[in-house]
Amino acid sequence: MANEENLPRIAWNNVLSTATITPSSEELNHLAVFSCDDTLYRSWQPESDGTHTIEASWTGLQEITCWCMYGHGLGLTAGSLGLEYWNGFAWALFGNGFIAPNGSECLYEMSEPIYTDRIRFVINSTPPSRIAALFVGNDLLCEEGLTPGWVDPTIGQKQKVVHATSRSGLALPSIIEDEFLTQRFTLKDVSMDWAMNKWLPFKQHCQTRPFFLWWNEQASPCYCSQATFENERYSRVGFVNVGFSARMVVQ
Amino acid sequence: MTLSGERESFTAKPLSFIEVDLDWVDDTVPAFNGDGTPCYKTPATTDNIDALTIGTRTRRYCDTTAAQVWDLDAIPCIDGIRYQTTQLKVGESLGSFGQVTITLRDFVDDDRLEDPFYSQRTHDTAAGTYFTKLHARNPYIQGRALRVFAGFAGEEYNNANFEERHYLIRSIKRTNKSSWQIIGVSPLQLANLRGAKAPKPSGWTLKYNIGLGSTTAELVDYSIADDDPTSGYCLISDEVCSYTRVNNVLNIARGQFATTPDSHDAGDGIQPALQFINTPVQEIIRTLLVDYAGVSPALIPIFDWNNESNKWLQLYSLSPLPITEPVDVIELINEICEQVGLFLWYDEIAQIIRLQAIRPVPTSSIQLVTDDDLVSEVAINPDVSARVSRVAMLYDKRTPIADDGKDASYRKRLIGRNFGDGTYEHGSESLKVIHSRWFGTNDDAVSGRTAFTIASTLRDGRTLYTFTLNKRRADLDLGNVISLRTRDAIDTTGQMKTLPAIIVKRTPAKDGLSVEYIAEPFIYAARFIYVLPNDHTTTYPNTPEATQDPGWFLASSDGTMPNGDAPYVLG
Repeated sequence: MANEENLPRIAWNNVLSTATITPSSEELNHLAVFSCDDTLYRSWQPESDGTHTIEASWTGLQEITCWCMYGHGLGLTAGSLGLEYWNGFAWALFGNGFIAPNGSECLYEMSEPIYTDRIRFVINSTPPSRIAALFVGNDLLCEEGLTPGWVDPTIGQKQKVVHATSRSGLALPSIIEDEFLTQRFTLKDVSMDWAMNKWLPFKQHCQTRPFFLWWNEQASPCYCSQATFENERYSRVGFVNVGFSARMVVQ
Repeated sequence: MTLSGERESFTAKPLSFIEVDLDWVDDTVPAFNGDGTPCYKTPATTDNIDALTIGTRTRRYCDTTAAQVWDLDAIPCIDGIRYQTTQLKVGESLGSFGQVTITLRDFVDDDRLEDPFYSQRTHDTAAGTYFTKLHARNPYIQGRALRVFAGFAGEEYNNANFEERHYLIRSIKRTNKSSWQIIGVSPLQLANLRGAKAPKPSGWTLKYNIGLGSTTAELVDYSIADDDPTSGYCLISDEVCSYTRVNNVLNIARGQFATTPDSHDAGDGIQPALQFINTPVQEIIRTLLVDYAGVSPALIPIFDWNNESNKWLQLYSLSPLPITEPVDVIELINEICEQVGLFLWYDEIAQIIRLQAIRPVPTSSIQLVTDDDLVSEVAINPDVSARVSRVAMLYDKRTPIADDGKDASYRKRLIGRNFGDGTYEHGSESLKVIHSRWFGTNDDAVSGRTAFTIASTLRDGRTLYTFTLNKRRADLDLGNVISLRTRDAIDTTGQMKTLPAIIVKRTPAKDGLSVEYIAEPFIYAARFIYVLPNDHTTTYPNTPEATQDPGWFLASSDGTMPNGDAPYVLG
């Protein structure tokens, strides 16, 4: 088995979807619940500059090992954000504290598991920044590492230039079409136990929903959508190969 | 960056989206109606809407495949935008009408943005889809505003990077289980679809018999509408009368316009007629569109129309006989376009209906298009079947009730000059007969002009030039006059020749990289002169438009003298 610190992680079971969400501020058509509704076209945005919170609460304790974010503009506004959890007495910082993104990159922050019934994102941005996708929950640690053929989604992003030439041979203004990276994520030789208890729930949940992928501590995490799961196959007795193809974006 | 900057850019990212304005109750209303049904603040779901202020609420949708543009706030559900753009038919008719068809992918929606009272009621998120619910709550959408934005995404959303085209919704319908289709049309198309007629069909009905000599007639009360006319001409059976109306009583003068007085029975219908007396042609068109077709007056730039007409159509102040039977408004306007020599089209960007006479265009406003701009060859498609070598004008109608389509219904016949039917030309005559309800007994000059213009313009039929331009030239639009200079059009010596043409159709390519155009030769066949003041020293080609128009030059139809000289200045 590979070193656990370098194994891929998948954030798919978003406990925000079962929480009561209370923002400190939200625009009329940019509600806080839109940040955890599995869509990117709807997003949260506060009504004013400065520091705002999005608080989530549950009736029971939740295990939280990571939070993720995609579809924000905090780097453009020199903003920052962090996750705090209620430890029974006070708000405590989750993980490594506040983050000031460089741009609009996908974020994936991990920590030792905590158990709480209240968390809150604290967002500081002037002017106010939107957030399209937030995740909080217990992420899936993969049992094996990635196989050859995988490429960092940052490198894999590409664009198609459609050139134009006049009848007289002059180069004319062209256009660029984004070609979203769709990449295969394959894990070979994972145990049947892990496949049944960890992979299968993920597969069942994410055939129609997006999720976050962290694959290497030196590389950027990505936001995955439109996943198509591959047919699982036995590699040997008690072990299977699993995988999916998905559209992967990093910012 | 601006739209023109993006069109010049080599790294532009095309993006299209639409906006739809649907009715919306602006006032504060409760979440539930009196009968317990949910209110969604649309007229169809709200009680007592007559007492409420109705505004609009805008929805925005974009391509499913487009790059994510965060600040656009559009639902990515457009699978396709198909333009069936207006094709002008210069000097013939209004032509086909512009239309855009948008295919939308349906999806499950939680109603949070659509239900204004979301928090006040329970929701079954599995019930219905976004568009099924939207349609159920907004069953009446014909005529509502639809805007199509085509442009470029840029780093972030910027409205200046988009060309905005305005339509009215004709219909929204489900095309299959998961797709909907919105069709947007121009206001002219909507008038056509509504079957607008002039004069308006009337329900006036005689209450009692009237005899030969009667000068009053009483109408059945319920047959009178509030906006019915109070004076004018009317048709009772085959008799035209003039009338003045007070409530339901008509004072009538019998047997007008050479019709024969007759007795009429109770229950006979009476049709008020439409009459224009010495009315400028642009005013006739405006009346037909606004008063009879329901086109908004805001779409008609009457100041521009008057300018155009005063300069080029002054001969056409018309006094036709009253029109006593309802006729399609579009048919009437098509007749005017052909007989007067003008064309109308809906400018989707400026949201106005443009009117232009067939006339010479100032050199300064002609745009040169060459092989440096073209990304396709120019397909030149002549249609000789549309050839007209001679026009016979039939006008001065005998009575308002005469059959418009019969030669015998007209007192005057003018046979125009022949063009292109010589032995060594097309070799045969192609006669076009025009029955004109618009030209009267004093309109010999304009009838002759019409006969000359049509035959000289169509002596070789119609020709269409089809070509594709890079997005750099996508600003060219309907009605623009161009000089097309390409190796696809060669003169007798093998040199490229310049084709003066008017753009009659514009269809953007799906990828945003190019635009397909269709143009027709733009020929002003009549001779014309420009006259300049005595102190005018410049030559014609160097003369700015502002001084060309008030000045006088002597020129042939191609803007030169017969020997090829520039036009002579008269001073």
